[in-house]
Amino acid sequence: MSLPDHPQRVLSVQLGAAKTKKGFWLGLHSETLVALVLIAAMLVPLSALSQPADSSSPGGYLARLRTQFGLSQANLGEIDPTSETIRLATLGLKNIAVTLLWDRANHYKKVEDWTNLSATLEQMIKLQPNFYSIWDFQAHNLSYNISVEFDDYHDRYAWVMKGIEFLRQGIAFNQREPRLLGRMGWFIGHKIGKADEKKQYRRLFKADDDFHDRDRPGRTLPERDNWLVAREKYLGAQQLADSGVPLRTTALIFHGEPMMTAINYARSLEQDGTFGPALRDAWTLAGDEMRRYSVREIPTSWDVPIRLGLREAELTRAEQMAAEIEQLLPGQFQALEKLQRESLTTEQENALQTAAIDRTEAEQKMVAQAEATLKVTWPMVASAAPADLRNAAKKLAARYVEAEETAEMIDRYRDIVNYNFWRATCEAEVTEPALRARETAWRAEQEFQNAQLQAAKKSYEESFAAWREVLDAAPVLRADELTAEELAELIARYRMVLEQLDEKLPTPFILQDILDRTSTVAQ
Amino acid sequence: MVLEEEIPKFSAWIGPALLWYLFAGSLIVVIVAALAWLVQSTLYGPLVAGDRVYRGLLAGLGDCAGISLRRIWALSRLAIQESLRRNVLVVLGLFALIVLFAGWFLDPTSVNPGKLYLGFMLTATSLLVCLVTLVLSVFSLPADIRSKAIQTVVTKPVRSAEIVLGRMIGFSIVGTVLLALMGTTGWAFIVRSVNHRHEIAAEDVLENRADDGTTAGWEGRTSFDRGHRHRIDLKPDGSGRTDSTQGHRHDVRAVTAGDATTSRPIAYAVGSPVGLLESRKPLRGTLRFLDRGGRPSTKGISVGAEWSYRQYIEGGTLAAAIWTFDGIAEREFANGLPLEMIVRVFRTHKGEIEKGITGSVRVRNPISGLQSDPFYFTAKEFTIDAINIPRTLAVTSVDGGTRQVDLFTDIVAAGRVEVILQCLQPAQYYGIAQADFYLRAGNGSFAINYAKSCLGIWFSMLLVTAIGVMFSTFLAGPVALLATLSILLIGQFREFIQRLFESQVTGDATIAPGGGPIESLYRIVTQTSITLDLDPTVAVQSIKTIDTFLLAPMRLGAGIFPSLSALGTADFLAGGFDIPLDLLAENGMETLGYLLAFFVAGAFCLKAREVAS
Repeated sequence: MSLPDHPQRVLSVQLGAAKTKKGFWLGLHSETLVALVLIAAMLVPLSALSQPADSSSPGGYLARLRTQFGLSQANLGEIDPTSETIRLATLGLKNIAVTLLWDRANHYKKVEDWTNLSATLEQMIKLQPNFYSIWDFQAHNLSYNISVEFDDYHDRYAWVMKGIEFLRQGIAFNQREPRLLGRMGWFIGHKIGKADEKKQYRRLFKADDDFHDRDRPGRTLPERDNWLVAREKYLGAQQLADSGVPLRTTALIFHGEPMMTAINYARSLEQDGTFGPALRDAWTLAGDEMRRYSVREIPTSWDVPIRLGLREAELTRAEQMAAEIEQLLPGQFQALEKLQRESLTTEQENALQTAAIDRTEAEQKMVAQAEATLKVTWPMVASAAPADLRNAAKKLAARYVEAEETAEMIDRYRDIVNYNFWRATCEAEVTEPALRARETAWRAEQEFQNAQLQAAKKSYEESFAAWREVLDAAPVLRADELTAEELAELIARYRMVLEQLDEKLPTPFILQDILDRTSTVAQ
Repeated sequence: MVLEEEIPKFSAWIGPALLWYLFAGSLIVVIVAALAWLVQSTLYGPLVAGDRVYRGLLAGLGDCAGISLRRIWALSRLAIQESLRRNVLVVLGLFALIVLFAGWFLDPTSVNPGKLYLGFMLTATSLLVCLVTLVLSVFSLPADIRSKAIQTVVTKPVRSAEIVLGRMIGFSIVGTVLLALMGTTGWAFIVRSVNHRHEIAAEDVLENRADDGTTAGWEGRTSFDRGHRHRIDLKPDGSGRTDSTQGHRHDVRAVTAGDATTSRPIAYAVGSPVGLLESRKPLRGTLRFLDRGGRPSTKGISVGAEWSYRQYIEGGTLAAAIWTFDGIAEREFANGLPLEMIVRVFRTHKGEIEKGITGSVRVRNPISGLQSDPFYFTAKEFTIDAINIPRTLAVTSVDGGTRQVDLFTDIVAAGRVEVILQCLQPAQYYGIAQADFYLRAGNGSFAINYAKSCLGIWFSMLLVTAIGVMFSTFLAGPVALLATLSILLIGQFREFIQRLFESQVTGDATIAPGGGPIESLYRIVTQTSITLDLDPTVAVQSIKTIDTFLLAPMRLGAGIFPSLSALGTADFLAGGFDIPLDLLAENGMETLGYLLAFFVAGAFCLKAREVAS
């Protein structure tokens, strides 16, 4: 018998395997054998790539990456055996399964099949427990979209709470996700405290032993206010973010929520008719939160962190720098201004002296050029300084620019969250006149509703007098449109009281400036 | 429960259905015979081909007609033995595992746990039973043919039809036994899972006092069990019930040491859940509408909901929804008409949040027009509310006088009565569908209803087996499996395929956006949304043309192949309604028709295949 000339057959002979007459080795076809060898070879890089971590080894490349970025299941949150089982059972097709389930969920919502909708959401989260969007979107679906399908406010409340409980599950699975805690705070605060049914919801929330026992056993009745519970959630989220967990949302707004929640808490007490020490404490809390927010470091898109409360300090610093440059180069700023002025052409001078409304297009351009020329800055002064003082002047000018820019950046960020207004509110509302203004206004409204016209008139007048004090002490509130509108509504009802008493609005009215402004806006 | 299509009476359904079946069957026979003739013609010429087809048809018919029950039973036993040899009972272990771990996946705090548990168990049972019989049926014959074991059968005096029918029956018996075992276990699991009780602690109940200081009743709440609690409302005598939560309520009774009306309760007895696992027998009516001016209208108002199942009537106007109930007999409703209803509410303004939207129900004689004074109620959404229309009714005449009339003597005419629903609050709306109002004609047994639902699964299993055996007569096992699954999938997506084809032919993308298979692939690859129209380039036109040709056979199949989901009756069971016998009979007849067709097709295919050669 001659030796086989096929290479694979040669291999099988060399290995001394039991060879069949058709060239098989161990009963395996040659192609199968090659495939097996290749699979075995590929196991080596696969092992290096995906070996799991254990106590003695950091594991393969993927395991190390998971550890590095905190993505392993143990790092993310609770491990649910059911979830793990279902994910394994889908054999890598969980994304397709979730897509189908999402479609089913939409269908069940459409046909108002709430049982199957809830079941589908459960299946979805079992498949993708660490996907933030599912938790956020579907919790919103439950609390906002489905709850309103019910007419009985008890049912509505139950569905709002279902959404909140859904988020609680999400938080358990994603313990390094501050956004979910923030969403829970938002739902508890705004959905319960701002909905049309807020009166009923807030009442039911306080009485909801099951929720509070689950959330934080031992919570007292005053602590069961939805805004205070929401604040707890926001503080928890902040704590998480401060521990170094990445915050994948706008920090400026995220960190402002505890302050806003405390303000809303105080406002809710006013609407409920709770005044006195309780309201003062609430505004004190809001002030504390405002101060905490003011000094919190907020990252910006310029990669320079800011603190909202430090705008005035930065401006003071800029003024100091300017003064130091002035001390270093006395009179140079004015000299440069004069020099620049002298450099203007006659046409530019004439254009500047022409009234803005009478300028031609060419003159407008000249004015723009002239103004640019006349603009003198401290860095320009520093650049023009004598050589021996120039470096020192430039350093001071750079610090001046830095302080100015920081103040401007803070100003822009303040505008986004209406910081100035909220700070003024927190500072003003805790004062005795403001507390009096709110209480008397609330009393006046009650008396008006109960047709106690004389009493209502007196209460309104007391309130307006108190408001006068508040506005005089807080220019920001005096200039604020919302405050003006709120007062205008109060005055309108006061007018109705006067009409029924056959009286006229006194002139000049104590809040005449507000009245004038709102009537101008209305016109 | 939602009933989008009315269930026709079996007596009215069977005639047209049989005619259609005979027509479709004849058409298919003619088409198949023509195709066979065409194929044979290319081999033997037209005359010989005609002769062969004719003889083949005669032989096939003779084969089917001359079957022996004894031989069929013998072959069925062989199929059963084969199934047991293949360890088919392992599936019972799998089912036991599912039951054991179902608690992991099922949420007892669900809106309606009964519905959830029922849906899960019936789906699991259906899937397992159908899967087992599918695998058995598609791999059996091909394996016998490949191993030539079939020769030991066909060389005996056995007809092809008997081989096919024997296997169908054998595997069906296996499936039936599995279904019976799984169904019984599932029933026990469901009953055990949903049954529960609550406690009521004394501190959770507050006494309501009337203005004169007497006890007006008690209100409070139950303990928190199985993810829910109930609000309770007790009358002064200590009796009462809970509110409806998670699709059920409980009866409650205060236990006092002395006289129930004077003593304080010392404990509370809470009954078993009511409303779960029920089997209501409804007498349904037909619905028509009146518009806001009181004029007849074909439908109500749309409030913009995507799902148009329910139509709305405007409150504070003459708009009304009128149900006409037929076949009302005094002996069945001797104590009055137990009217049950589900009413949806749509508010156009907030109104009084703490108060529901009130409405009225009146009963009217459809002939004389005499109508009762209204019964007022407050709409309770997503729960079944009940009003009992008593035998003696008050009727107010035009002059303002009120008199008493008898329901059956004065209002019900020739077994018919009209029920008129109106919403009373202006600018608020009631939403209703025909199935939302019914007269509760009685209560069936939940166990029997459950068995009826299992009958639906049984029909599905028979169909799967028949299709599997039919394909296995001429295809290899894996191919037969794929073919059977394709048939079932096409049947399952029947409506979608029909809409898709219509959209493709008419060019109206709103019917089914996204296009056929090739267009869908194109859209996926190019990441083009299904809502965007594709530019009518030559390539796109070609794709659409190819899609039309690909969809045509699917459309034909969708019109012919059975839909297993249409045989399911779990919605009735989960909704707490008795499964109508008419529906079961229609499903049974449909199944029988398909079984016959698949049996004949299988017998012919096996005969045409010379397995013994």
